[in-house]
Amino acid sequence: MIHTEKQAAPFLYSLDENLEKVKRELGNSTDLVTRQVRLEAVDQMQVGILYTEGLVDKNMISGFMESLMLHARKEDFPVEANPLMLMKDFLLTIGGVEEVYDFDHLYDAILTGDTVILVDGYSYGFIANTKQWEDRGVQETSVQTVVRGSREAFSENLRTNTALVRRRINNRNLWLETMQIGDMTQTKVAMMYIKGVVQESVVTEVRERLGQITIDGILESGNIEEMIQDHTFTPFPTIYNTERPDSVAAGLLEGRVAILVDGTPIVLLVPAVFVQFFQSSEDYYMRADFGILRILRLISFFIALLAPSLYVAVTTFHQEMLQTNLIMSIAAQREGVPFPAAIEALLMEFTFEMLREAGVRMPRAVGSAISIVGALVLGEAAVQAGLVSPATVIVVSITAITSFVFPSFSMSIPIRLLRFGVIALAASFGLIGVFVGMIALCIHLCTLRSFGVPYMAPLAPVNLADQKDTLIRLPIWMMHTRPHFLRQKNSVRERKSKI
Amino acid sequence: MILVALFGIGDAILYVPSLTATAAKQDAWISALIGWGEGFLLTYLYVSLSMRYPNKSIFQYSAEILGKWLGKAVAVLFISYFFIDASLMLMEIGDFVTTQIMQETPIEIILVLFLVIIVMGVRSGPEAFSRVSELLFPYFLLLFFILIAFISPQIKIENVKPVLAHGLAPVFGGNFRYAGYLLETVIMIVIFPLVKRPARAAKAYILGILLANFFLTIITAVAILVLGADITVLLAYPSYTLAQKISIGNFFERIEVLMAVIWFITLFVKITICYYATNIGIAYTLGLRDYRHLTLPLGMIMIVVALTTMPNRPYFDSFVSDIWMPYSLTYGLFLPVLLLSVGALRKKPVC
Repeated sequence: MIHTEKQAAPFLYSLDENLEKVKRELGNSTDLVTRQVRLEAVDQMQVGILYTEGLVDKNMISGFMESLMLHARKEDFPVEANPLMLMKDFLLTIGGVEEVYDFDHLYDAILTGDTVILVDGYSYGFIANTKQWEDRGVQETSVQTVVRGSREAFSENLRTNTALVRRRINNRNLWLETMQIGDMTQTKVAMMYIKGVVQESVVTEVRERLGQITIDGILESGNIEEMIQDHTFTPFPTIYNTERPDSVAAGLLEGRVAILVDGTPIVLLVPAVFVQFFQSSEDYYMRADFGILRILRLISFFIALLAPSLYVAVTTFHQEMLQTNLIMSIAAQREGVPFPAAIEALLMEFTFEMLREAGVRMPRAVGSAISIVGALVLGEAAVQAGLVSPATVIVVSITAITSFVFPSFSMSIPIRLLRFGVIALAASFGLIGVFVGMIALCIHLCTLRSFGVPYMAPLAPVNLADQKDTLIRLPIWMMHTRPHFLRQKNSVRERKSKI
Repeated sequence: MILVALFGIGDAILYVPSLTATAAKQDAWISALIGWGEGFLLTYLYVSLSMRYPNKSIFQYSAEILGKWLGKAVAVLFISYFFIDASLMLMEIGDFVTTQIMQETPIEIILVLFLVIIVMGVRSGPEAFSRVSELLFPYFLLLFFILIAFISPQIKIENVKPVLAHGLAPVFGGNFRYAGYLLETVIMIVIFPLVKRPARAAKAYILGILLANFFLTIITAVAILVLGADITVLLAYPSYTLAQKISIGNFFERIEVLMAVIWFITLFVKITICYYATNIGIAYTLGLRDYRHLTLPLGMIMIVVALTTMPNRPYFDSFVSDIWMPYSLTYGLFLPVLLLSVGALRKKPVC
């Protein structure tokens, strides 16, 4: 936590000099507040109070200043006793008070929202925990929405976030470790796990990887994710992220480790597996037959990945596979189109991706413009202009819809990337190319690991018991065990009921 | 188990019906049934050989049994067998694709394309490609049963009659060719020591072979039931033609590409294992630390070998039906029996 190379500098005895030094070293920053008061009760003792405006609870500060100046009586401070210790015990009616001996700790304290109290003639002071700042508060989920289930989302405040998880798991085995990462930003990063459920080696691994990060700043959990993930050169996310406290709680109960980062509502869960990105927390709240929707999502995955390339392959190389009427109508549509199917598909996919990107980045005020123009370039007008065939428009639209099906946004990125690669393969080698691409994808997926867990578990390696909660979800009373691929110590989720 | 099953099915699924039917005519399915017993016996042989030397590869214990030089010679023979098998199958893919699916594409391109994924699979290690096979197995099952279900309306039971019209001799003749494919499963012996628990591996080995036999018997029987013995003999790829005949409600037509996908899946698994076996064999014989350096140069050699050994289709056909069986017999039966018996003579059984 030391951001200067120097040795920790101890305090001087003179309060004035101490305050001067602090002001000088913080560059006379205008949000630093230093106040000096004289204590009537304790022999006209000079007391200095330092804090950063905006990071502290002003009521709390005025509260203890009041108690220092008004309620302190002479008889509470016998001459022979150390007045500072008495001050700490009697007067500071605040939760966390600790002593501080050097300037480095002082800077850390006042810059994170604590208040430092220094006394003239003594080379140490107190840190009082007065942190409070404006935040967004707990709001509704905006990315991972559900029809049924909790609507709370994480916020930017680490304390609020840990509290949200703790409220769901009231157990003394829910452990929390905090560390500070980022030489400049000193961002608080917390690991949460359930002792006795989680596999110890995963916890150690996470702790080690977090400890190895040396970077100047962590601004979002994405920074952490990139530093600790197993594989960088893969389009697939090997760390799960969520904004839902109930997803995190469920992950902890399964034996995962949650990584919470101060300043972001996105929480990381490790280890992550492929199928996890097709599961929504709602799957567990609705009745079990709702879980069949996961198969729908998996089909959407394949459609989103393959639809344009299959279209290209079939229309360019394998016309005989289609029924005669169908191929006739497609050929008729394509008659006036100047491009080969591959170029056409690439063009439309590209347009769609650009529209999507524009839609996300655009200021809300001009939002309606993009939808009007978008409908033109991706629709009837493009067809009438003779640039694309209606079949291509339909294929691209299906792809677009299916790529929004996944509950987790991070899974749609690899699909968007790989889609273009598969189109290129289809355009050059037809279905053989698509097949080769898919096998290569399988090989790639099977080599991935996330914190020691094979990424494709429980599909490969197969675990039959885990299939209860993979592509379908069986009723909760049938799922007696936690997912085995996480190799927890205690895998029994549900005691056998005697009904 | 899945790995073994997919391996056993391998390229056989396209060729077996025609090969066995050549000799056994309408009784080819009986030949395939006999294969169950043979498969079991052969696998039992391989398993008992592997179990005697747990955690050691065939290259290691052949040297142990036969002495250093003789053992190395046997290892080199095995390696050549694996390598030739791998290039043969690569050529089968190229031949199939260029004759049946994409006539205009040069065969070299197809070979390179497939070689890329095979090398990729081998480089990622045995653990990864066995997971790939686990991942692909459900799709294989699904496609296989779709195929069988859709073709079932066209089954004519008259096609298998008369049963055993020419006695048992042709049945065994057909079985002789069928066994050629079973003997190739000797390659799995290389994978065996990688499994942590030998007892489970042994079970999986045997079950996998039986499963492979199950699928092969079904496809042989269905091919004969639908196409009739005479046509099955004439066709190069009877199973593929089988899929072409599917016609449900005039809509599900010409879905033979499903069959091609089945075949590609099984063949991919098989070539990858063969190629892996070649690589670790060479790496072991030459004392290399990592077999991965070999994958790329060997792959290039493999393409050339594939192109030169199989100049054309009739050559390939005669090679497979006349030479392949005795050739496989050397490695699939003779050498393992030799190793097992010499090993038993030289020292008392371990257990």
